[in-house]
Amino acid sequence: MTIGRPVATASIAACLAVAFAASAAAQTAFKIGISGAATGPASPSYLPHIEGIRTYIEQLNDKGGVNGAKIDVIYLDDKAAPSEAASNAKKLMDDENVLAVGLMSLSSTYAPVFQAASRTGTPVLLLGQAVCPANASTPQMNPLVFCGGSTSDPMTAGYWQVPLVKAIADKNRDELKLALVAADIPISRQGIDNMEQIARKLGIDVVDKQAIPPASADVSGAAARIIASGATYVTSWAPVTTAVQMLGALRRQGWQGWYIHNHSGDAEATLRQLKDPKLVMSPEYAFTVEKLPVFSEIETAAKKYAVNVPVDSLSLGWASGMMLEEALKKCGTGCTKEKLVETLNGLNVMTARIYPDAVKWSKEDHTRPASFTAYVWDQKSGAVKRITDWARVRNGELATVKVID
Amino acid sequence: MGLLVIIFIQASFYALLGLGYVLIYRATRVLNLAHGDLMVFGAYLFLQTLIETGGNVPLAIVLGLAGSALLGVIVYEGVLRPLAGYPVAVGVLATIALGIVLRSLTTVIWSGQTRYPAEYIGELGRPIPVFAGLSVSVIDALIILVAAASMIVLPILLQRAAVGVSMRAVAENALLASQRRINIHRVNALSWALATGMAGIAGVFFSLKVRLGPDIWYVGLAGFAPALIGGMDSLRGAAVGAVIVAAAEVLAARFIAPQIALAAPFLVLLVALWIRPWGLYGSREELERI
Repeated sequence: MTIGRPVATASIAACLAVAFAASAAAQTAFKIGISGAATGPASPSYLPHIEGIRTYIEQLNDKGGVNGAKIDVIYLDDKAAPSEAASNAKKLMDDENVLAVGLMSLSSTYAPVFQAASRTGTPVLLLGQAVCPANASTPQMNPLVFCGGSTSDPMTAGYWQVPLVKAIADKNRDELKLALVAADIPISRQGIDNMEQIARKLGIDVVDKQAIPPASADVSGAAARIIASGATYVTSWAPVTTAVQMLGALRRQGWQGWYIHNHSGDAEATLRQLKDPKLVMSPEYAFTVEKLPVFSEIETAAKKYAVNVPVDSLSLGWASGMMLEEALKKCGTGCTKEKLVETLNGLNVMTARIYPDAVKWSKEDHTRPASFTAYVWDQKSGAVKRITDWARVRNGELATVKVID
Repeated sequence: MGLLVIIFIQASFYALLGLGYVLIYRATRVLNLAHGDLMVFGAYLFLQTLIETGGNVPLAIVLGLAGSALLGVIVYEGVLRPLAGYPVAVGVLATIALGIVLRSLTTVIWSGQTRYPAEYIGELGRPIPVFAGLSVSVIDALIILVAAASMIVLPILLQRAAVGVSMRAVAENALLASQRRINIHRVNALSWALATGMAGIAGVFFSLKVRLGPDIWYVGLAGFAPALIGGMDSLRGAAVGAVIVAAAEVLAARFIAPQIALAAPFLVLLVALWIRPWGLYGSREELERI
């Protein structure tokens, strides 16, 4: 049987079309949305992480992307405002039909994004410095919310931070009179309420507890109250700006006690710049003083892409990028929202030890396993140093803190 | 006694901010809602010079403040001058837009990262014993000194110096002033330079005392209540208003709760407006103009 020229031509054209379509399908980008506080009062805590994930994805795309497909990220600024977050969620999930949304903002922006996620079936990854809400694990589980941010829920953090305060006071043989400081936002107040309960269980004398409005120009009056209460130690679960403002006001009034703060994305830089030997940051991720190979990698990428943010502030965004890459790689070609949710439910990714444990999610638990440590500014060496071993912490179980120096 | 010192320090800072609002209002009748952003910009200019000069503080202060003053001139010439002749509300709206633009610009130039310029200077927060067991930190002492100097120099400048007389003349009646061959735009530009310079000073102090980031523009609003309580056209009023606001804040935080501290000045403001809407030292005529 012979094939006439028109048929042959048509067949070749059809084959080429199929080949072209297949190649186009392979090159289709994974479309992802990021909604975060790039400007506004909360931006210092979130923008560096947005830059971190942006840098990671840029270098990943330049290397060929994931399974040969680029990641096309739409970045939207929510200014840490719930109304802006709601509008971003609508744009990303309804108009752009993204595969997933990375949320890098204040907890007050979560609710509208979660609502849109439930309506559209879009998974939401809390990334960077995001705090993990209660509905990331059973029994209040939201099947679309995944915690990949640096901050455990305020409950879990308390089970580390209060024993840490006690361990430092014991080591220094100080009388422990504790004051608790929060920013006047619900999740931060919840954090210190929980710490107060834990402290009382441990027999610690809690002498003062206060919530500072985030927009305070001066907190000297509140600091005077803490000093009047006789506090020898202060601990806070709040944005770092609240802690720094309070610590400064206390120091200017001559208070010489210890200040133990949870952490923030720029916690290491804060220690380095303030050089206060009694300010402790207790993060759930490694500072650059750990000299992990990944930090050199981040530094190289930051230089290459002219990112004007120090490595220690980029690392959480970088780790977020690693989670996203792994999820998309596993989801594979033809990845859909449903398939991605399924993939995320079995995700197990090491973030080059930026987080000491693997980020591991299951159908029942979307929280990130939490390990904590503590760092201070060491005047002798003129550098930041770690003062405790890493400790795995679970909600409801008091952590064992081992102070190493 | 310790609380009185705290109130005095806080009042000095608020007075620095309040004076900026008053200077612009007196000259151009515009309520400058970009004052906080101008404050932040001035502080960043200071930080940038500090970094570039390897920690040369005097040079950083001079260049930072000169940059702030120059920015004031640019703002007047570029934003406010073209709006001359329009209702005052247009100018106020323009300052809101200006604030948003400056905030974005600051983030683009210096990133959103929090900075602590004090690391280049050090020991500014160390308390120094003064008398009777009281101590004041170096930075607080500087704030008090500069606020006191401003309260002495600015009224003299406005009352006695030729340029101050021109400023008052333009503020009173711009048309008449121009007929008397006073260059009203030059005088207004100078008023803006002076006010943004004051904003820059406040920004430098806040950044040295607490921190620096594009988000601290809200601190500039802390000068708004003192200026309103004292009277928008009165330098003395801004100082008295600052003391009232600082006392309300510190006492509320110390004896009630820090959450109330933020609202306390505005409660005082409401009462003050109810009793004397034109401010403690303001002129009734100004209220009618508003």
